[in-house]
Amino acid sequence: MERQAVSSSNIVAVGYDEDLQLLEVEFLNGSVYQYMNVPSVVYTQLIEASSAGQFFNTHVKNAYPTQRV
Amino acid sequence: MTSTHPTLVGHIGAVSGAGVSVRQSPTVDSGVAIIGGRSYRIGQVGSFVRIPQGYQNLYGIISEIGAKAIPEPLRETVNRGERWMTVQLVGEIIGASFERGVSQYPNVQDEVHLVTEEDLAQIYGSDALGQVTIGRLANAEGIPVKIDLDKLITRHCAVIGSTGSGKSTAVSSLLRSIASGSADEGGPGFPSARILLLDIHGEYGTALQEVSKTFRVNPNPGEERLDIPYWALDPTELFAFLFGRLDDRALSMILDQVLDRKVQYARTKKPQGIDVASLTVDSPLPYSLKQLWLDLIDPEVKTWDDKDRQVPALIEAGDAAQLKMPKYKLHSTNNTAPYANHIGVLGIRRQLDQMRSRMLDKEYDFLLHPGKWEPELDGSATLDISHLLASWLGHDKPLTVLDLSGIPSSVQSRLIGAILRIVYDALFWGRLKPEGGIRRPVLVVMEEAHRYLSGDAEGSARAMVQRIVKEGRKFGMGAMIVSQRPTEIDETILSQCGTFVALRLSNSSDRSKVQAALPDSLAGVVESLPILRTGEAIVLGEAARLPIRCRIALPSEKYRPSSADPEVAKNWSAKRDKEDYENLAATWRSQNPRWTSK
Repeated sequence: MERQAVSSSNIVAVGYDEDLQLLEVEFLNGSVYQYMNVPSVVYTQLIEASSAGQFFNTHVKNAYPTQRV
Repeated sequence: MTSTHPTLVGHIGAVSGAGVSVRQSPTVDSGVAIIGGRSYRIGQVGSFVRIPQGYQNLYGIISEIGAKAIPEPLRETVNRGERWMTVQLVGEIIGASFERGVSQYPNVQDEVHLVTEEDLAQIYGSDALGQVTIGRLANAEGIPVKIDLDKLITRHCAVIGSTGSGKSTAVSSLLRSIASGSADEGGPGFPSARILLLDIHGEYGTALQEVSKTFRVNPNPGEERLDIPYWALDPTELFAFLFGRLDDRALSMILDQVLDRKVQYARTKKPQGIDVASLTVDSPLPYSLKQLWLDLIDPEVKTWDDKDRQVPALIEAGDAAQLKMPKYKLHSTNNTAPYANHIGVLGIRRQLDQMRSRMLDKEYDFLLHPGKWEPELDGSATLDISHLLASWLGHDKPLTVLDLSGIPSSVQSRLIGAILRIVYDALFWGRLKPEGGIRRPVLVVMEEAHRYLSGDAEGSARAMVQRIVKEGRKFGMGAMIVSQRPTEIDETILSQCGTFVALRLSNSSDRSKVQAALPDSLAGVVESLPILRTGEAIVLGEAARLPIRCRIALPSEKYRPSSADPEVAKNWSAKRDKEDYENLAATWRSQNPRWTSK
């Protein structure tokens, strides 16, 4: 999955697969997590947010099932 | 003197390989000969000549006439008014029966004779068992053309021709001739034939009415409902249709769930022939798709009331029978209750929504709610796969028409693959049984084959047909490929077809496909393909003794497939009937061409 860089203090880049509704997040420490069943609108908000890290923490982190890649 | 014999057309001028140059005799300059009260046109491309060689007669086909037929060294002599033709040797009669190939060459100055109807009858008129009459010779309509049924089926065949060349009439005439004897000849036919016709446009139901049983999604009176139970499909194929794109991890988890259900069914119902230990996810055992849907969607939407995720935050339980989703409290986003679920989530929420809408769509009822084959939520179904096979292959008529016209075209090619798989697997494994393919061979007729047998068609139809044409012979399964675009059909499949029935073909790349199946010396015959009359065909290959140009026996008016062209001029000049577009729209919505208001 292709990931797009975002400006954040703890996230390096995010990627999204519309078909699979899969959000991929790469953190500053090098780890990559996938979040499942994420609607595309959430992804759009995430990359457009003034602070991606903050948006991620409040709207994604605990809201969607996740697995480490 | 022999040169005055009325059938004499000329003498051999040169012999090279399979080709013979013949100098036409001046006695036949008129171009017509009258023999035994019948008039024959001399020197028609594609017609036969006889070259007597003592006890045996060689036979050849005229491939060229005129300037090009003159042997190179003699080109200068053309002003002497000599006429030449090129003849391709094809076979010989020694004693009574015709055989392909020649045992000796003719010599220069040997006589070349016209072939009379009596001679032709000797070539084509075999009365041996297993001959099917498909029509009459195009240039001698008194002579029936017979082809070898065994070879036609075990070596597979292709019926090809441009739109409007009479393909479906030819197919239905041929099938009828197999099932109940030829239309004009009578004859017993083969009442125990087993032919499965995949009818894409719903043309054949009426044409073959009294020799067939028709299955249709929206059955007319006298027809049966077409059901294809989803659980008999290859699950990977089924889920590709139900879910769309799916990542590999999720697919393998779902397949595991399906396997569990099949094992469960096998343990409790103990169906015959199943060994639980060697059961695979492909085994045709029923499981409930509705229950599978509910079990899959639950973890996707579940939330928990406590942090340890022990108490589900359930508002209302789901209902598999009604395809109702369970309702949970909405999860919070700030790490307080209710908590989102993390256990067993496959991330297939969107795919499951699509699956649900497919299951609610009436168009797919024949597949996803297959009548008595639809399992209960616990996986038990009223009817088993054996009933399905019996209804398709075990009824008292020689023909089964599976009318696929009511099936959405998006799934047609997948379903054809599924149907073929069911029939192939059953006949393959059951080949030694009395119902199997060796004792009761099956011919599968595939209409509009270019749609699902092309190189880039989705679904497994192509792979299945490849298996049938390569291996079907060994366990009694034959294929008849019917298409107007042979170029688009997978190369492997077409090259395995031993017999071609080629109707008029205008497209040159399509023609070259037929040409490729012929030895070079007979390629000239194929050049007449664009000028065949409607209903005329060239039959060549294993089942035909010789490439034959014949007129397919035309079934009587009421037995013709309903694919005849609309009569534009007549209808556009006729007075219009009262029209009601509400009716038209309602018919569209009902997706049943025979819809009428109650």
